[in-house]
Amino acid sequence: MEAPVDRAYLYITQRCNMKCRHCWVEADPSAQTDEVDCGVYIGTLQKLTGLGLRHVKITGGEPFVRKNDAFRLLDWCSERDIGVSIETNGTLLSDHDLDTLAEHKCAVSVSLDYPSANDFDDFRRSPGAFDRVIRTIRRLVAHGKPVVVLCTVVRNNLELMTELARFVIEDLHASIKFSPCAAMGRAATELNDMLLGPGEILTMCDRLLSLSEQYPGKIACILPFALVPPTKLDVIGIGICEISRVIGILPNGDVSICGVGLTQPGTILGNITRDDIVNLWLTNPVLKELRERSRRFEGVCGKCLFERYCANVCPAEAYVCYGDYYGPNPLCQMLHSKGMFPKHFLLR
Amino acid sequence: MKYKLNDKEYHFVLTDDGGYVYEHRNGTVECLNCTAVEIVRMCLDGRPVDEIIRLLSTEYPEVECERIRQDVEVFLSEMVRKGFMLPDQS
Repeated sequence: MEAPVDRAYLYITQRCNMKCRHCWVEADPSAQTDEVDCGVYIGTLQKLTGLGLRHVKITGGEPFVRKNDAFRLLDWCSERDIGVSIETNGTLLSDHDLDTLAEHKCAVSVSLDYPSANDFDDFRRSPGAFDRVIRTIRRLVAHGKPVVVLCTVVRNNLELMTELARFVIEDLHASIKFSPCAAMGRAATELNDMLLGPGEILTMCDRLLSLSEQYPGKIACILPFALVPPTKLDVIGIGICEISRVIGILPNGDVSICGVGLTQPGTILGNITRDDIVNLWLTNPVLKELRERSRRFEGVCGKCLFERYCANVCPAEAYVCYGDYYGPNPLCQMLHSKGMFPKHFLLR
Repeated sequence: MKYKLNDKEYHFVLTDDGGYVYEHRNGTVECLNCTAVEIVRMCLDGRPVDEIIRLLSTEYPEVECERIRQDVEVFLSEMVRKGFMLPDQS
């Protein structure tokens, strides 16, 4: 197949019942983005199956703000054996909803950043959120549904990573994926003082590797290869954004490389309500260039041994930070500017 | 027999936590585990294969010497086959 689409990320709403300071898509209860009908999403997904679509991620905002549509999309994917996952804050689901969700062949990710109610509710600016999230996770797990907890790492929960991992894995019987908070969306303005500095990034990496050995198969993180020792590459679940095979569809039908389009209009490539999605995927020059990757990456990534593998980890983050999909990975560039990037991985 | 690195075509990163071999031409990277790094470092020190085998047998007394010999010879053959290393005729 010429240019297969492996994954579609559906940002079905920018609305959310929360307004978290770290939200990279700036979701909030009063978001005004138009929302296309669920049938339009389904029509687009049907066309993408012709391009080899294998997985759909349903996210937002909070996707269960559009509860009926979220379940309809889950049904559609499940009926066609298309892998499907859903990311949720876990606070809007009734017991009946959770029982229904547990019956679907879908992966479920639920956000949880602290092991205690006071800290978590404060971080998410949502009183009572912790209790609702824990209830959600427990009920899904009790039904045999594997749950991945998503933790955003900032300065003041860095020291709580171990405690949170223990709580999630040993108490809740889920697994956990840690992501360092990126300077994107609301985080760039409201959490600037809580973003990890270079020393803290290395501390986070050490902690992740230690946790991965303590809890094999239960810890994941998106990390640049240069920050993981060679012998630990199969210990921790690291990954990169496979941008050449991903398409992002936003609440109003806009097409972007991912949800970054919600805050970066320059990344909008078309719209599913007026453009043929197959033609757009195959012929849009930005998408073609990202697939062909004819340019070298800028900054430290262009000098690194792993340039071809990491591919700056997240082009969306590079775009936000540097205005260029080929910008360096901001974590690596920060380390490099402080002389803390592993020099033995620099080729030039 | 001694072996040397083919550093014209490949770049090697050797650490205490394993290593990598990077091919300049196409940017591909292959991992090396800690034992592989240890053998490569001994080759870089100019040690012949028999001495490498002897040193590893001392380091790993619980492993049969013949097993170590086979593993080292297979490893070095593979490294030569891939072009990462070359027999050192000097």
